[in-house]
Amino acid sequence: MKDFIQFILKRLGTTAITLIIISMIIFGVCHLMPGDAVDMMLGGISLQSLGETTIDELRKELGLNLPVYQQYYNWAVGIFHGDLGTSYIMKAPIAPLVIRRLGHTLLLAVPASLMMIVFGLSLGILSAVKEKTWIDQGISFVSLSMLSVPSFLTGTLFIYIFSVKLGWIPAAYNILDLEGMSMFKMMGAYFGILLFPSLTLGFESIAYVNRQTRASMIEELKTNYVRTAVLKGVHPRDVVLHHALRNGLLPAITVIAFNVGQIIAGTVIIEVVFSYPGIGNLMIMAIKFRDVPLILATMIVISSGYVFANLVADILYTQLNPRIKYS
Amino acid sequence: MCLKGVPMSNNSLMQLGLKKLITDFFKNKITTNLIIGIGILAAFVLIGIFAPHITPYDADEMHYEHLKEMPSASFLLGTDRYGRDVLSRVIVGTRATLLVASISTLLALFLGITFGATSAFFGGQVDNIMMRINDIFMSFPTLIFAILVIGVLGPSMINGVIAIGIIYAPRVTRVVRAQALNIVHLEYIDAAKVRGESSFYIIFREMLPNLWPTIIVEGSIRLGYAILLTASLGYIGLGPPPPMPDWGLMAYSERGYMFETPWPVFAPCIAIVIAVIGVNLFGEGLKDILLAKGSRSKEAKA
Repeated sequence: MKDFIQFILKRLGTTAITLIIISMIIFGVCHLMPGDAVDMMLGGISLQSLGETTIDELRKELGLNLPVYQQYYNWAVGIFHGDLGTSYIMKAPIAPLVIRRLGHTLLLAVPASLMMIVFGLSLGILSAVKEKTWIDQGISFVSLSMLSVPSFLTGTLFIYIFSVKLGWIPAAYNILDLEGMSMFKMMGAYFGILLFPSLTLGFESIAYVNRQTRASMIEELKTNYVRTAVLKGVHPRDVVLHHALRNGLLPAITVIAFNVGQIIAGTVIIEVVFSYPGIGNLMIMAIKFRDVPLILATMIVISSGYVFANLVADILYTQLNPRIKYS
Repeated sequence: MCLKGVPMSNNSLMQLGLKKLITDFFKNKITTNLIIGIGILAAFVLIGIFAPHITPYDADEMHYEHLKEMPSASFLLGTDRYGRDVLSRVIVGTRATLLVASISTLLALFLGITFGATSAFFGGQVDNIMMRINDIFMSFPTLIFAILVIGVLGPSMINGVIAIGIIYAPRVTRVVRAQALNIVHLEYIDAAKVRGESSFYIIFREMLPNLWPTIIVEGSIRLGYAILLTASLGYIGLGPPPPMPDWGLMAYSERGYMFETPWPVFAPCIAIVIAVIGVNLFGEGLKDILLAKGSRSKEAKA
């Protein structure tokens, strides 16, 4: 147990360092952007009419006259106080905006992760049990093609079939519709509609989990303890679900946790496809308008989600596998 | 193989690889996967090279009497919202996507080989530090990093290559290092050290030839991912800028007109899928030959 706590603390430490370095990279790259915030904000206004002194004052007010490391420090300290800065284009504090958009994104990402776990595992177990039959080959073929298809095509296909052809779902989500509602009401109203974006989001991950589960279950089903259980007359269902799955699940769990990270990062594309007002779409908009504080905030939030998902993957793996020594 | 116990020089190893490919072909080791994969890839490369000469129309020519038409005899895949021929645009779009994907894969391989082999060769503290840095880059979500780099530097083919190359380099590094660690203890490396060869010479002339099978297979995997990433970046508007036909951007900009004709959206998507399947089959086929259990590992030990 002491080993375990030590291991967790160590991993938390490296995760913190990783996040700090990632934030430095994001900040540094953003700093390479030609023109600073003041140029961005003034946009159309001619510089002469304002005069150099006004501009310098504005720079000073925003802290842009400071050296880069000082700016980074101020920004990083701000994050710990829950202050993500002010968006140039929206002229509003970023934190509430990002939190609301993150809520929308989680509304996609959580069902997507659940679908990945349910479909990925059950299809994987099914194809392992039915190894080398047409069922197995069918599932393998489908999951291989799922990996060769870009996610925007999956999403566009869903839109084409269910929106253009059948008219079941709207082709685009009206941002105002969603923003007014409470989280709970929104969930009820959009349950049917959210299905397709989240299914698209989970699509690739379902294939990965399915393949990993199939591979490890096939291995487990060949072991002696499984054969013993079968010969003892244990019900085949119990052999698979109680005996083999307990060990076969282990590699799958790591893949699942890792794919939660992929799902979080993958929302960017899906939100563009479905014109969904999540944090990914916010990031793309920030990039297009070169709104640096907004770019920084959205990127940090998405990257943190990804990094933490990987941390969980790591911890689960060592925790569940007694053969691995903490190091 | 006949080489058991005979010390191998680099040349004989390269020749062996070539000879093996030829003998394997006759021994039916070349799978249908590989043949189909090579066929698809060759077709795409030829289409990419001769693109402007084989299109039925100029890709940018707007036929104002034929806006948003379904496929017909004169426009095999229909026309888009400006009346441009979809087939011609898909053909010309091959260039941008394949160029960005393949050059960025080469960049990733170059960086990955250099860092991975160097890290394994020096070992110890050097290896430790390099791998820590590598881990940090690996923990950056790929798409976010690409969006960051391209968003800041501005969308263009070169920036696309740089972004994707840098993203995949740490992943190649890890694979190359793992394989290099297997061979760094072998006698011929020690022999080279005793001969007083430079580190550079040992890494690139002694170690590299034995790493090629791993690198080629890894490269084919990366190429598939690179095509998907290039297309996805194009879709969110971070591919090559508009006048140039780009598969991802075509799918995005025409999607509002799917009520009239879905072809401008789905034709480039189908091209992407075929290209990725081709690369994946090619990779699977190469893996069967180059990394087959028993053949490769025995030779490495001999």
